[in-house]
Amino acid sequence: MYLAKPSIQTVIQTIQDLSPNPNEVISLLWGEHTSIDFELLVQQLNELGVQFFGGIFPGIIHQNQNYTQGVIIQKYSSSSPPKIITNLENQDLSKMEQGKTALVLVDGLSSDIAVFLSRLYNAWGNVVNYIGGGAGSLSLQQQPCILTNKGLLENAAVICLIDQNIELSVQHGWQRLQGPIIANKTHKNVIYELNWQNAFEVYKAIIDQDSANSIQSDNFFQIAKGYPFGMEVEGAEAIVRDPIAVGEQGELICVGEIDNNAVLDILKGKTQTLIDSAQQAALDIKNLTTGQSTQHIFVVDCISRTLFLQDDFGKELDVIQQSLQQTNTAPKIIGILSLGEISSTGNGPIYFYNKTMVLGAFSES
Amino acid sequence: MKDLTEITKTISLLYELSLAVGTSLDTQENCAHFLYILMRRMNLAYAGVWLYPYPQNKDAKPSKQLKLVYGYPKFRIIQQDISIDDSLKQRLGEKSFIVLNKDTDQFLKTDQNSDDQSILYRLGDLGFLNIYALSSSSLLDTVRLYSLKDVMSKFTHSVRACLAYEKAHEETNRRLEVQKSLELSEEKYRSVVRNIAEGLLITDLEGNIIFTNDRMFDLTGFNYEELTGRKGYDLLVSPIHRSEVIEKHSQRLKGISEQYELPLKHKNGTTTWVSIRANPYRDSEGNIIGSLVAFINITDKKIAENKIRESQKKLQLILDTSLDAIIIVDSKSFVTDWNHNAERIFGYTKAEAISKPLSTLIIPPRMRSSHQEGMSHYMATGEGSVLDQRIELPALRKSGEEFPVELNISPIRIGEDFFFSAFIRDITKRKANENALIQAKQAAEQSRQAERQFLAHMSHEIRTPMNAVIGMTHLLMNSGLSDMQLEYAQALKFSGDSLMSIISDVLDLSKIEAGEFTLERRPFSIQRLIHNLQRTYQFNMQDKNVSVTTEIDAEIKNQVIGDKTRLNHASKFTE
Repeated sequence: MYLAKPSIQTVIQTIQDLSPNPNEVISLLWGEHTSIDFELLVQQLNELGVQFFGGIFPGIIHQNQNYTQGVIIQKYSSSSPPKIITNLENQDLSKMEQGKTALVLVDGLSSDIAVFLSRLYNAWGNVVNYIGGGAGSLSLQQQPCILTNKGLLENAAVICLIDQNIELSVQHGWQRLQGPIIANKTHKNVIYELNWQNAFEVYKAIIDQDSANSIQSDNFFQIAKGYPFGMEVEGAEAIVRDPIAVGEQGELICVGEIDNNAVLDILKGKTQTLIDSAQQAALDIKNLTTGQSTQHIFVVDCISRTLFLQDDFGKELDVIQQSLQQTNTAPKIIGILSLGEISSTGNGPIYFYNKTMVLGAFSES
Repeated sequence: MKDLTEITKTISLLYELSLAVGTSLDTQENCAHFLYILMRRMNLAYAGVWLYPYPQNKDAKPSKQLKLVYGYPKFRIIQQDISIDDSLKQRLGEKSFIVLNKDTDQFLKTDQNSDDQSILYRLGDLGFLNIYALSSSSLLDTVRLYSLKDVMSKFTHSVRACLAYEKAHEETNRRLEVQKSLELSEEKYRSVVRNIAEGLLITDLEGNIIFTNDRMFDLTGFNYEELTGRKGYDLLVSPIHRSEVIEKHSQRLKGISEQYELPLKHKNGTTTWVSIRANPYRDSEGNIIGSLVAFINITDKKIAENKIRESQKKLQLILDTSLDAIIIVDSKSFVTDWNHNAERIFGYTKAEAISKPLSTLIIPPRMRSSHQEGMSHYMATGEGSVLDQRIELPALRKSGEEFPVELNISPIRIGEDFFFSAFIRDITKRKANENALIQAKQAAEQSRQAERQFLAHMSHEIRTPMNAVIGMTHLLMNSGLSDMQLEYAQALKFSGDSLMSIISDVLDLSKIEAGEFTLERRPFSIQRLIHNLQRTYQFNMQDKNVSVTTEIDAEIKNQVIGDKTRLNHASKFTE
């Protein structure tokens, strides 16, 4: 359910209309420009005894539309209340109950996401399918963005263990422009050196050969959004790392961590390849859910894809809807425009992607 | 390898993996980082490193037991220790890896999905690296797996380095701990040696002092510098004890320990008595390299002991020189002490008497039961009728002779124990003397009684005729005699009266000796008494031509009260 101009009353009314039972939780996915008193909302939801979780994102997706305001309200089967992680680096995860699918929402601008996901995988491995993304603001200013019954939290995560199966597809459509290059000096999400030289200088030298405009610090984001990094994964799409800023010393600040000495490619996006990747993801889901009853499709689409595709982003959502419509008469599509995407490939660790689209098909519980 | 892109990809993979090797000297961290990169790059579901126990020495027998050093993710780890069989070793041989059979190779079983395929890389002689990938994974391509062998070899070396480093680190730490422990122990030892109340002295084989503690200064007055290098028995022992100490030192060198007491010469000339505990001083291999001597100052104890000894000597002297027999018995009447005079009086030596029941020694058989009852009564009530007083009882000598003794028994309580001391005197002679005196007195009494009877008889026998003489004389005087005759008759009567008086005096004397004499109190004429005395004296002096005259003061009354007869006698015996 999407509410374009939600109020506390309409949100509560909608939730009450969903009549969640004790084994059901409500997800609330907010566009960052929604005007609402979250503190009061949390208080009233708590008073009503509603189990809920959610986050504030740069945008939300409903069917083939994306919005920067409003709320998407969805009910899930869950035998346990959402788990709130306020210490991404150290909080014990091993004692948490397991479920079929973990919907993971994390502060997308936290620097401890990789550690958190590693610990999560260490505790639960791949017996759980993971889908989720980074919450936060497109302004890239970190602020409280994870919605829990304890309020809006910053530098935190919330995990909802859902008793429903999910089929996943991860695609991004970014193509290798140049590589390999070596990120020989990194720390967490910052690249200091590439090929043993100043990171920005190496990056600029490559980008400037391809871009119509020379990349500078003042237009960095505008141009860099079309030239992310890719970290190779055997038998799967590269993990994309999105450079979002350049530091005073020429260091490149990315969304998500880059391992020291990681072998990177510089990727380049084309509108069609990205849209094609979306279609491929939808087709993957189609194949995976053949003969199954899908409750809804959950889309985690990177906000930077909207920035890159701009007006063509609608085509991406259209192609997803259309591809799914071919196999599913009335697919319900909801999702988020995220600061980083979370998924397991179904075989390996949980990764924090950038500029990627994760499609998840929730089966009926 | 199909084309340049593939080669490039492989090179980049190997490059990244190579640089992920050996990022830490901590085995776990090294494995964790390498596996993290390996898993990301190879898109693996699980990876784990199994190692044999680190060999304690080069000749150690190869182990079949492996321990999981690091596995990721942890949730898939269901065992930490496994035993690997020989067949697998043989199958692996010198190969760098093998793909395990899911159905038969169960020894590394995890809860992996049935689709997972397990691959085992050999980490040299250290163990194995186990990874799981989907059966459909391109990783299962043999060439791809083989391409990783050199990286795995490099990883093996890095793990070996980590293990060696950790071993060295562990040994270094252990050594440091041991060293620290030794230093602490040494400091403790020094502190103990410094602060103990005992003086300590160590000598070399020749007896030269090589170590002393501070306490030795208090004991001897010599400081460390003055003591070390000197022979202890020269500096601290008087000449009369020196040879004895030298002999004792030689015993140390034979491995013999000893404890003894000795007077030490103090630097100030005084003597300090010490208790010495001397042991052989050995090196770490047990060889005797000198003597270790501990000194305790016992001067005060010695002084106290001497005082006690002297006191005991005095006491023993007193006991031995006492004229009385002194016997001490315990609460059961067994003899605990028996002095010299007890030996003399009773005939038993001290050795014969000690620990024997007193009653069988000196108490006549007829009195033994009452003696025992008395003891029991005192122990029960604290009361004793014969205690703390002089009593006389018969006693028995060793010879069986019974004889009288005078004794005084006193109870003595020492702590919870009761003793009784008996001071016993042989009074055989005294008793004999007493009996002789009594007999003599009785004889004297009988003699006096006979004398009194004789005098009474004699008085009676004389008085009767004398009364007749005096009576007849009185009649004669009234028979008209001439003056001359009358005068003679009067003189006769006076003499008769005097004789009667003498007889009375004899009786009086007898009464005085018997303590029965009493003076009369009757009125009489003092003038008549004096007139008669004048006439008696004049008559006696008439042949000497001496005149006897009397003069009586007019103030003297004629009648007075007194014993006229004794007064008359007294005048006659007055010179």
